Amino acid sequence: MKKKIFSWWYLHSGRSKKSEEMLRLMSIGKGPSIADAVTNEKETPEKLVGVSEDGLIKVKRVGAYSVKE
Amino acid sequence: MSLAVPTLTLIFLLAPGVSYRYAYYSGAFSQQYFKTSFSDLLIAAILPAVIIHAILFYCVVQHYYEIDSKTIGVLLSGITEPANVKAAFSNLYYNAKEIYIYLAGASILAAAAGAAIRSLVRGLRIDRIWEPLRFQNRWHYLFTGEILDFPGQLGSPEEVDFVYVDALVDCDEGSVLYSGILADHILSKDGGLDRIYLSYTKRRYLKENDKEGMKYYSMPGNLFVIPYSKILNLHITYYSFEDANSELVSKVDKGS
Repeated sequence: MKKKIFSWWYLHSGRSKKSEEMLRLMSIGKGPSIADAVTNEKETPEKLVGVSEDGLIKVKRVGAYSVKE
Repeated sequence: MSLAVPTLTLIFLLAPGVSYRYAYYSGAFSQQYFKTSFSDLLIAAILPAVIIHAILFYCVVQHYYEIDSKTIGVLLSGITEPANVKAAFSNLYYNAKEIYIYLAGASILAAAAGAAIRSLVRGLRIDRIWEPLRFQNRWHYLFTGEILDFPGQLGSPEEVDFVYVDALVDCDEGSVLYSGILADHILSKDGGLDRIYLSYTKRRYLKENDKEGMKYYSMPGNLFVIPYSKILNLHITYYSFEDANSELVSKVDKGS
């Protein structure tokens, strides 16, 4: 129960930059596949979509910003 | 009367304003509450304190109590005439309970009002639409994707499942690009960015750009910390998952 309350607080407090689905995927060890999918998306940016090497994770670019010093 | 009495009186009178600000600038925006000096903190609390005292005076105080403006004037002005000082402290002593209850009640109400107004501003997304109410922590809007709600921006923060960061860092061996999923960020005392935390970080030397098959090296460890002072350029990308991932999660959940 305490864990559930903490998870809810973490998701809604603004501390987390990840959605619930992201946290679930990371908890089952799919973090590297997500990073893979992003790398593949960056190699073909015109498609806006990237798929991981294992083919299990598919990500879509929603937006991007650059901050230059 | 020493200078401490007017200062203490001012602090007590501004306490509801400080409470209001503390509640309003909480969570991700708490940095804005803290000021460079204690006097700045008090100055920033004047307007909310005046409003709270005015509301309480017209709604509650004037119906039950009489305000002794002479005593307040003596305490704030630092007058040293013994007769006036004695009368002021005597009034304070005999009405101490009511004064404490009023100030404590005003501070609690102010904190509740601050939290409620903050929830309203954040819940209705007024801070994202109307710039005057926007919080100073611009990094929060950028790192959560809430910037997509700003006027003239495409996309929606609801679509954002995670934030991916590419940070260009200059080091002795040349420019290095660190890429990873944004895990957290820490602000500096002046409200700027102090450092970022990345997970599943990959590293790539920019001089390898010309070579075929650019090499990414995975960084070991759960989190990779980059001080903002070392970052030359920061590229932030928002990603959403395609529906296929939900099926994968269901399958893995059922399997485990």
